[in-house]
Amino acid sequence: MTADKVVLATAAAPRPPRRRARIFPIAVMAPALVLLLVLVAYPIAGSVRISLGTWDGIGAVAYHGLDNYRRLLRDSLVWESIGTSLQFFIGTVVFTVTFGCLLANAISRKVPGARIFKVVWFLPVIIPVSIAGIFWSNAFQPTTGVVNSLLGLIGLGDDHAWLASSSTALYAAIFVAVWTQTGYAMLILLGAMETIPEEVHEAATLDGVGAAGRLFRITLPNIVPMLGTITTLTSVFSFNAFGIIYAMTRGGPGNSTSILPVLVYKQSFVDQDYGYGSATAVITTLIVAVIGIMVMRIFRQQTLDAR
Amino acid sequence: MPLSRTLKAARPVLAGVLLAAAVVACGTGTGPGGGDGKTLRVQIPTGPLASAMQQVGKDFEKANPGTVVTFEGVDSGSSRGPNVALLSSTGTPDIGYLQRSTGVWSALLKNKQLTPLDDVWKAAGLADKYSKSQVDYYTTNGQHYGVLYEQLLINPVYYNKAAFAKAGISDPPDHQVASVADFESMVGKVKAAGYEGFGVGGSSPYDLGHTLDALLPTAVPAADYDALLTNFKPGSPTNVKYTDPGFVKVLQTIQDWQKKGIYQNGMLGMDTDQAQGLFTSGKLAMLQGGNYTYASLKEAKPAFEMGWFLLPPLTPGQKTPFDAFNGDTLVVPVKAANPDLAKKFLQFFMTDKYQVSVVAATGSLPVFSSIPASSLSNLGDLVQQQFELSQSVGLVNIWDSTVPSTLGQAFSVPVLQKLVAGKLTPRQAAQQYQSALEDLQSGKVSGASD
Repeated sequence: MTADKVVLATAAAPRPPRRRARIFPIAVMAPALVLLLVLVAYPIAGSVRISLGTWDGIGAVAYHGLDNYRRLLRDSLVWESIGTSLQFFIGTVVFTVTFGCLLANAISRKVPGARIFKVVWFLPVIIPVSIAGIFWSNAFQPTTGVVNSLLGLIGLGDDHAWLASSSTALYAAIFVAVWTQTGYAMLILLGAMETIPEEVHEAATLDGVGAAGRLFRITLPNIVPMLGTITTLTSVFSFNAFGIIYAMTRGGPGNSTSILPVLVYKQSFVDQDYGYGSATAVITTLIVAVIGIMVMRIFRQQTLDAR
Repeated sequence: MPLSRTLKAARPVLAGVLLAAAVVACGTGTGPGGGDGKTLRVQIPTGPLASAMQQVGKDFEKANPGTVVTFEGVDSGSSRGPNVALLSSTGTPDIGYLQRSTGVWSALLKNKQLTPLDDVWKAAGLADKYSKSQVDYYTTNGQHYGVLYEQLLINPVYYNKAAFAKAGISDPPDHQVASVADFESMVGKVKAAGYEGFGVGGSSPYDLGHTLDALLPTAVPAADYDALLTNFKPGSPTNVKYTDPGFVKVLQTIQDWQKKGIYQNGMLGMDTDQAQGLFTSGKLAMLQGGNYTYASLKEAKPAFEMGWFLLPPLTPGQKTPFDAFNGDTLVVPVKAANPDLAKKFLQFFMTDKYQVSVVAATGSLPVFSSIPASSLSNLGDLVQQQFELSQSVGLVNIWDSTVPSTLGQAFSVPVLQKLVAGKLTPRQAAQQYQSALEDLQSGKVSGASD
C-alpha cells in the first residue's frame, strides 16, 4: 500500500464510535442551549450591561461603572424594599408550603370530599394573577368588600381598611399570594405522597401511630426532596410576585408593599431610569439565587439525614 | 439524495427567501418612512375618546380616498412609561400618544425620536389658537414636536345632591366653599347622615396628587406658584422653596383630613375606579374628579342627581381657581412608517370642528381659546358649568404634571401616601420635595431641561 492510499483509507474510514458518542448529546442539546442563550443568558447579560450606566430606554447606554450599585447602597427605598420582599417571601413560603402539605395529606388520607377539595383548592392556581389581584383588592375594601362583611357577621368588625394601612396591606397581599399558590404546592406534594406505599401507613396504624404521627414520622420524611423542590419554587414565585402586588396596591400605601420587582418597575418604567432599575434587578436576581441555593442545601441535607 | 444535490435543488427557494427578506428589510412602500403612504396607525388613549376618534378616521379616509386609518389604544399606565419602547421602535404607530409631563416625552425628545411638527402647527394655525403658556410649553429650541389636543380640569368635586339634602347642606354658592372649616363641617354632616365623606382614589398613581394640585394655588402667592412651576430649571432665579409655609400648609391639610376622617374609609387602598364605584353606588357623598370624570359617572347611572364644587381655598377670602392639565399630546415618532400621512391627519384633526364634535363630545375641554363656551353645549351640563366658571375664576396650570415627573406625579404621590399614612410629618415630606427639586436643579436627576 502506498502512502497516498493509506491517507485515503484513513479519510474514508468511519468516525470512531467514541467521537460520535460525544457529538450526539451536544447535537441533541444544541437547540435548547441556543434558546437558553438567546432567551435567558442574553437578556441577563443585557440587564447587567445597562446596570452599569444610565439609559432612558432609547439609544446608547452612558456607562458610569458601579455608580448605580453605590447609589443602591445609599438608597433607603431599596433597603425598605428588600425588607418588604423578605417579609413577603417568608410569609408566602411558610404558609403556602404548610397549607399545601396539610391539604395534600388530607386528600392523600382520603378525607370525605377529598376529590372535590382537590379541584377546589387547585382552582385559584388557574386564575390569572392580575384577575386574582383585582378580585381581592375589591374584596378587601372596607365599605363594600366581602372580607369585612364576613368578619362583621362573626363579630370581628366590618370597617377594617386592609389595603389602606401600611401595617395590614402587606399581610393582605401575602394572604392572596398564599391563596394563589397553595393549590400548586398541594398538587405537587400530593403526587409525592402517593408514591408512599399504603402498607407503610397501614402498618403504622396497626402499631397505634396516630394521624399526626404518621404525617411527621412517615409522610414528611418520605417527601423531603419534593418539599425542597416546592419550597424553592415558591420562594422564586414569591420574590417575583409583581402581578398580585401591582394589581392590589401598586406597591402602596407609600412603599409599604413595594417588593423588589415593583420597585424595579417603578425605577425603570415610571422614573425612566433603566440603568438604576437594572441594577436593582441584578441585585434582586442575586438575592433570589442565594435564597434558592440556601433552600436547596437545607433540603439536600434533610434528604441525606432522612436516608 | 446527496447533500450537494439537495442544496442545488434548494437554491431557488433560498434565493426567494433572501430576496423576500431583503425586500422586507428595505421596506416595500413609497412613503418616506418606508410605509405605503396609505395606511395610518394612530395611537390614542383608551377611554371615551377612543370611540369618538373612529369618526375622525372615517372622515379622513373619505377625504383621502385609498387611505386606511386604524386606531390602537394605550392605557394610562403604559402611556406613562413602557410606551417609550414602542414609540422609539420600528414597530411604532405613525401617530403616538403621550403625556407631555412624563419621562416618555423627555426620553423621546432627548434621543431625537420625535419628528418636528412645525409644518402642522403652521398649517393648522396652532400658535394662534393655543394660549401663550401652551405655546411656550410645546416649544423646544424654537420647534414644536407635538400637538396638544385637549385640556382637562382636574379639581371639581362631585357630590350626591340627595346626600347633601339629607344632611341639610345647601348647594355651595358659585361652586365654591368659603373655608377649610366649612368643608370639614360639610363632611361631618354627611357622615352623620350615614355617608362616607370625601372620596379620593388614594392608591392610584395620580389622584392624591390632584388633591395637592387643588389646594396649592390658594396656599401660596400667585408669583410663588408660578415659580414652583418653573424653578426646577438650573439657574432658575427664585428663592421659593417647598419648605416654605404655604406648601407645608397644603401637606398639613392633606394629613389633617386623614386624621379627621374627612376621606372615605380605606382611601389609601382604593384606586380611582373603586372610589368612583363607591360614589355612584350612593355610599360616598363627595368624589374628587375632573371634567373627564363626569361622563363615566353618568354612564354608571347613579340613582341621584349630582352637583359639583371646588375644594376650599387655603387663604381665606380667595376664590379657588381651576387646575388645567395641558399634556395630552399626539406626536409623530421619527421611525413612523408614514410620517407625511400622519402629519396630514394631525392637520385634519386639529380643527375647531373636531375640538367641538370629538373632544368636547367626550367631556374634555377644547384647547383652542377661539371656541366660545356657547358652542359647547355637547360638553354635558356640569362640565359646561365648569368650563364657564373657569373663564371667570381663572385657570392655573396643574403643578404635578407641569414639573418633571421626578418631582411631580411619579415622585409626589408615594410621598403623599406616606404623609397620609402618618409615616412622614408635613415638614419631613416638604423636605423630600425640596431635595427632589435640588437634585433637578443641580442636574443630579435629569428632566430639568425638557
